[in-house]
Amino acid sequence: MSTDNRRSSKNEPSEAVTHNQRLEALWNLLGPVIALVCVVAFFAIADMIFADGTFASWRNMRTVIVQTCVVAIAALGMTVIIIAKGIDLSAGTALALCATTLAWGLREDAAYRAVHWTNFANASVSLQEAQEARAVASEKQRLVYLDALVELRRERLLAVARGKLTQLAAAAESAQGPARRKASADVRAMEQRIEKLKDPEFQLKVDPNWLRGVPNSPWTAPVAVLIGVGTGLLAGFFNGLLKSSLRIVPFIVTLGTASIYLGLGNLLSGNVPIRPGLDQVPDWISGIVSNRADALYLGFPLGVWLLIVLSVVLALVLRFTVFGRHVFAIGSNEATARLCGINVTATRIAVYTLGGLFVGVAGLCYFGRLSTGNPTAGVGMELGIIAAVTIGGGSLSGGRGTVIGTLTGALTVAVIDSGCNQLGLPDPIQLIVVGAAIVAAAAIDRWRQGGDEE
Amino acid sequence: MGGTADSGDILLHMQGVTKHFGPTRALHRVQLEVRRGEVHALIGENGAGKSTLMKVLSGAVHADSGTIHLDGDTYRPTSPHAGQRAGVAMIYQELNLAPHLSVEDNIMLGQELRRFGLLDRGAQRVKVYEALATLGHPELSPSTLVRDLSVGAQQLVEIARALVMNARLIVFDEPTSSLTQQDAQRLFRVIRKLRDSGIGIVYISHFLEEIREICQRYTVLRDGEVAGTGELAGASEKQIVALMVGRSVDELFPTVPHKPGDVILSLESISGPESPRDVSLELRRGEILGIAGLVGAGRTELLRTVFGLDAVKFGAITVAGVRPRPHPHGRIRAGLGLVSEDRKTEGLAQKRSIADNMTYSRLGPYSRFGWLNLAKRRAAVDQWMQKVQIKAPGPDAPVSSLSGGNQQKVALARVLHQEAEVLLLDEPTRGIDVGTKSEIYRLMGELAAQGKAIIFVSSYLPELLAVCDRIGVMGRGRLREVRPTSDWTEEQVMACAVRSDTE
Repeated sequence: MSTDNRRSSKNEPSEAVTHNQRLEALWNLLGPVIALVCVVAFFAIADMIFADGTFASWRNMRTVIVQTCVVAIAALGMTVIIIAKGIDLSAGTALALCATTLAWGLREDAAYRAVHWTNFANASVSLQEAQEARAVASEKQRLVYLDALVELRRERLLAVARGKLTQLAAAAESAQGPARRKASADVRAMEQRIEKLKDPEFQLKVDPNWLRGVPNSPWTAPVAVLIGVGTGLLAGFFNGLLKSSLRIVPFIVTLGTASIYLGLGNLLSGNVPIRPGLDQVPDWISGIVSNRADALYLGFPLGVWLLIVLSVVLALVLRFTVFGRHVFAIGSNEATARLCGINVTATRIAVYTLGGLFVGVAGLCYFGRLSTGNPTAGVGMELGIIAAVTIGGGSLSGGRGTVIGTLTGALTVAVIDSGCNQLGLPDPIQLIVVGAAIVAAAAIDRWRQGGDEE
Repeated sequence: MGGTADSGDILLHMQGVTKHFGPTRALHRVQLEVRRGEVHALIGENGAGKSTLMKVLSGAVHADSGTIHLDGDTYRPTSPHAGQRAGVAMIYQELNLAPHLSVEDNIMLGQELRRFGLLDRGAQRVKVYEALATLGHPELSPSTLVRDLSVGAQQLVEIARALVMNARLIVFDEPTSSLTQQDAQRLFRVIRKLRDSGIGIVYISHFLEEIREICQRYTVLRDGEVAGTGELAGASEKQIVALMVGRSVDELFPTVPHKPGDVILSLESISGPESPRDVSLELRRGEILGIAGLVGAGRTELLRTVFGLDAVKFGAITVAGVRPRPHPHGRIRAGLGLVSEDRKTEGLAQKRSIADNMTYSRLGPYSRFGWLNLAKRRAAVDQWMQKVQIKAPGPDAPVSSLSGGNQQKVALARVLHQEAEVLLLDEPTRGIDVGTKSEIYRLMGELAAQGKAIIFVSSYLPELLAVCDRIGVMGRGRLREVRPTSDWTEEQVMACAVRSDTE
């Protein structure tokens, strides 16, 4: 077809070129999807032959989707960064840091503490400490200040407890059924605590029982989520700021910040994972990526719906906004972007900040899965996130990447994991298969790109 | 042609060489004959196929068909390395040296002499001295690091390398473009020495005077075909230019009448970190100002500084009475537009669509609260594509799929689309076909007639002399002289450009 085209004019493009370009665009979009379908089909068939055939069930598919939620959400942000020819190696530890700060916010009853400068657990512990100090102090020390201190702390804990009692009573009032029964038990427990505290001679012993059933302030959950997601936002902003102001390649910048975020997480948690009490984690967070029947809305838990909404919004932003165009411009040729008057620095900082926002949301889901904030759990997670983007057709040389691609990339990894599990393949084999898939995807991509250039 | 020559004299004989890149025809049945002990000029515009032909010769590219004989033997190199072993050496415009290695190491790179698996430094040193002496430059010390040498001396190192390789044929691709006048003269002496020792030389250059000085015969390429060949002694400059462009000068440079109006851009002794230095100039609406100068004279830097890509160290820029803010965004808003000399790495985002590339600098008309109206943009881009006659499947086609000329039109259309009043065009006709060049000259005339002001940087003097109202010549970062075009001749411009400053 190209030969008869040549006769008319050297520069005149033929219809064939248009057609090829459309085909190529379609292939770019569908390629990863087809790969995913093939992988699913492969495991479904293998499963029917060698195992019990439950792999292809709706239930299992939903589990796979739910499992991939955390990685997929973070990978959405990574997609934007990679399109802009960046990379974020700190995504893993930043994600864990977000989960950790969120856990901290919940454990510390952040909203209550922000207003009252203390919370039930802290007030209890400080009273106990004062009492213990008084027990071993000399007569003189007691008279001078320790009696007064204990009194002061007892009063304060009483105030906190009375506040919590009011909150509990109101909750018990509006609750229904079994929840009401539990609520009124909590109210009684709190009333008993207050009775005990009223006695000046009562020796407090803080144990899990003492802290059980003490609710957080109703504002704490949103505040803690804000802290967690905000941590991601800040981490991303910091990455972008460093990259832009120091002009170091993002690989090195984020390699450094990855370590910084891990260190910050360990500092905050004191090297022990932060585990808020059961009553401190609201149901919607603990069920955000759960398969529990009561956590599902229209068949999926909240996290999956979050993923879907974010995907749609991001796809629209990339395609239909000035910002989206600028991201692609910077990724495919930064010099051109500068030449066109695009504020490269600001756009790049925005890109990393956006990536951080997604990391924050992923951190929320990750926390929800285990209800624990463990800063070290994120080490290595960035590789899975980057793998999802590259399997989905994102190019580390910038300018290429799609939301659909990234989603299928994340799903492909999850399907391979789940499929290997189902077939009873051991972990090492899984790792090898996933690794091979990453290399294969990149090789196919390279081969296609190479074909274009000549 | 070489019919009168004794065929035993013929060193290189290329016949019927044809090469396609996808649908683009780069070479069509090209014939080239180089004799032993001659300097043969290969002439042609950018994109005429010179570099492809030389890539075929070096072995970097394989011809679709055609035969090559070197010294009577069939020559079919599979790689540049194989070409070198067969005795074909290339000296490119951009030198191919390792700057952190010494002269000796560079000369011997890839052809090191070994004894018992170790470098035989003694034997190498002898070879290096021999080669440098042959070139007539024994004063070059083999242990100097290449990065400490001038460009001219670095070139000598490359030539010495070719000699050590026992090159029978050496190709010089625009060797003088970054040399001073003295270095160029030194190079010519070296080339004559090589010629006299029986080596065949292919000499590629844009400068016809230079070709006249050193070459005996010429071959002109146009659009991938041989347009003519013969003895230089019997050919006038006009004839050769006519062969190069394939049409008369009047057809090539359509003129649109335009008249200069008010001053729109004024530069008051602006200086950058290195270049430009102390440049003052005034540009009027409806005026085309040409800037001539050698490569490295600071022309591109001047445009970049005016456009805010490079920092202004001293001096002031005023656009229509206003001082624009110091970054490209501010300059664009003030009404400046830049077309970069380098379409590939700077001018255009090659992987992005025509529509994107055309509108990156001004998405405002299509956006509300940051959201784009793509249909509206598409319609506008369609119009612009028709206005500047871009031949492409549609606004969504990636720029990389277009020919050089059409890519350049996209870059131009961007500047027009952003409604620039002052157009800074850096080599806008480089590497594009003659027909498109002619269209671009006409467009420039039309824009001037509409009251836009244009600064036109070019290394091709005939186009400057034909298109511009005034021409300024730059050298070493300074704007040396500005005169109305009618007061310049080509020789005077060249003389001014190569003049060595006495400061």
